[in-house]
Amino acid sequence: MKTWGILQIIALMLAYLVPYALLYNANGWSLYVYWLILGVFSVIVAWAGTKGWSKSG
Amino acid sequence: MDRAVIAFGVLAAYLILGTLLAFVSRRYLAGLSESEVFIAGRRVGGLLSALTYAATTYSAFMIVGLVGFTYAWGVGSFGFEMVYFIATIGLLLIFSRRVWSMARKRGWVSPGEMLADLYGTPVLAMLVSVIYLIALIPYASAQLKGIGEAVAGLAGGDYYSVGVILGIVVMIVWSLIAGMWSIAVTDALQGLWMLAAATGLLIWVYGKLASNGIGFSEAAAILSQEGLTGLEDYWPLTKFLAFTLPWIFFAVTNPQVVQRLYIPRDEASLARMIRWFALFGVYYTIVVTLIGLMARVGVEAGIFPAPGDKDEVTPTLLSIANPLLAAIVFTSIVAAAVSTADSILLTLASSVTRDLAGRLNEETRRIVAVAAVVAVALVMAIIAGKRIGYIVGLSVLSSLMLLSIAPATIAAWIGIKVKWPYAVASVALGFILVITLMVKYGNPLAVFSATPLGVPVAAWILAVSTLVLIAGLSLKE
Repeated sequence: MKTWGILQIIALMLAYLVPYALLYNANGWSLYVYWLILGVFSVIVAWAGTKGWSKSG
Repeated sequence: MDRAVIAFGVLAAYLILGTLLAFVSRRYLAGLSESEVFIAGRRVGGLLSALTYAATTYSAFMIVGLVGFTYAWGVGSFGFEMVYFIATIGLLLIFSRRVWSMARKRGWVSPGEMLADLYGTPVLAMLVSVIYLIALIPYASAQLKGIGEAVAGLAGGDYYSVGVILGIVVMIVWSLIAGMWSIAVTDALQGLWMLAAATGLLIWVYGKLASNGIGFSEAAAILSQEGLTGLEDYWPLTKFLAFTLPWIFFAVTNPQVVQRLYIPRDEASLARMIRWFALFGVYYTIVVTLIGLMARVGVEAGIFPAPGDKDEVTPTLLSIANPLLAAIVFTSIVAAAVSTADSILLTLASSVTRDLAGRLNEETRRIVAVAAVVAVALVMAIIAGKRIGYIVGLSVLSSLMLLSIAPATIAAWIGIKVKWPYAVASVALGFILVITLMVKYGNPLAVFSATPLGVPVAAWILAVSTLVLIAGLSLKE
């Protein structure tokens, strides 16, 4: 779980840093696509990170 | 047929369907214990948990406010919402399993009880409950105001009060029919309605552009020309931080979503809740932000009329859209407002009953719970009835008012031991800072965007609250 959480924290840092470092003056869809990729990555992490959670409760 | 008649017809269909579903959900209600009423006896399936989590999280702000943000401020608005989404998925992955498990073992029902238990003091539960009431009643009232404005927009200004009364009646009825069960089931309907309506609106907007020879590449050229594809013109770093910092911690600070971590029936359901919420969130955010961007392209190309201001973008589109589509989207605005406000209502009632009412016998607590639902709802209606812009400002400020709860909550979830007076001080000082700044600036929105010493207020709140917690840590025996 920690691994997936750390990946999400890295994604969050990237969500801040990359636009301000590289895409500040972006033209076209590049900034939109960048955040879109991070969003889709988060969905993949959500599915992968919860795999195997037990049915016991 | 008149547009207003179609809109009210679709709204009536939604209200009847929602009420029927709420009554059907009573079959799942096993008694009237507080655990049953407020958190559905911890027996909710994964998909239903996901839909109530999503419908509660995503308010009318998305289809009205965020569409306006992207229209006016461009792609940076998509980043603002996506940063919230990424942070929420991370917080759910790291903490939800632990919180869900502890809630079950230790019998937490209200979010305040969680903090009281983890820090060993009822003072903290009382403090956060008061903060919830101060922060969230204006937020929920703004949702009611949104319903009033939507109804007034269709039927005329005199019908504003009718919209507010309609909203409050629906909230009370759907809350009292079967507590969390009826809220969750109606949330599911409303969440799916919101997705369908937004998708329909995007298809219509893009279809209009395409029929005028504008595709994605032409749209990008128009948006670039207006400076809407980068951050330079509309999203300096301080503004981006001011908007995103409070929302990063939404899943930790907002009691109506924290309480939803208690409801899944097992770990597999909790996993499904996170997965389906992730899909819902990313899809809804993409669709809503594309509506705003495409609307701007359409206005710049002379295809759509220019709205008066950014909050008028969605109403302007609805005024020229196919009447049935406009009715479905109008109803989705009402649905988004109701699904957020009634969830807040039930959560606040649980806080009043469990954390503020004191030691009462079971029968009296039951009466208090119903009275709390009705009383909180009436206060929301009275505030919304005043129809002043200040309410919207206060609702925006709610995320800042709740922010000081984040460090103490995360520290407790991680298992860091801090003496309870420091946890209380950490929460209280951050909240007092917001109130002080509100008095100083005299305008809630000014506090939100203020940057004392070049740093957003949200960062100051987090810094102050965290430092107080650290002091409590170093002084521990």
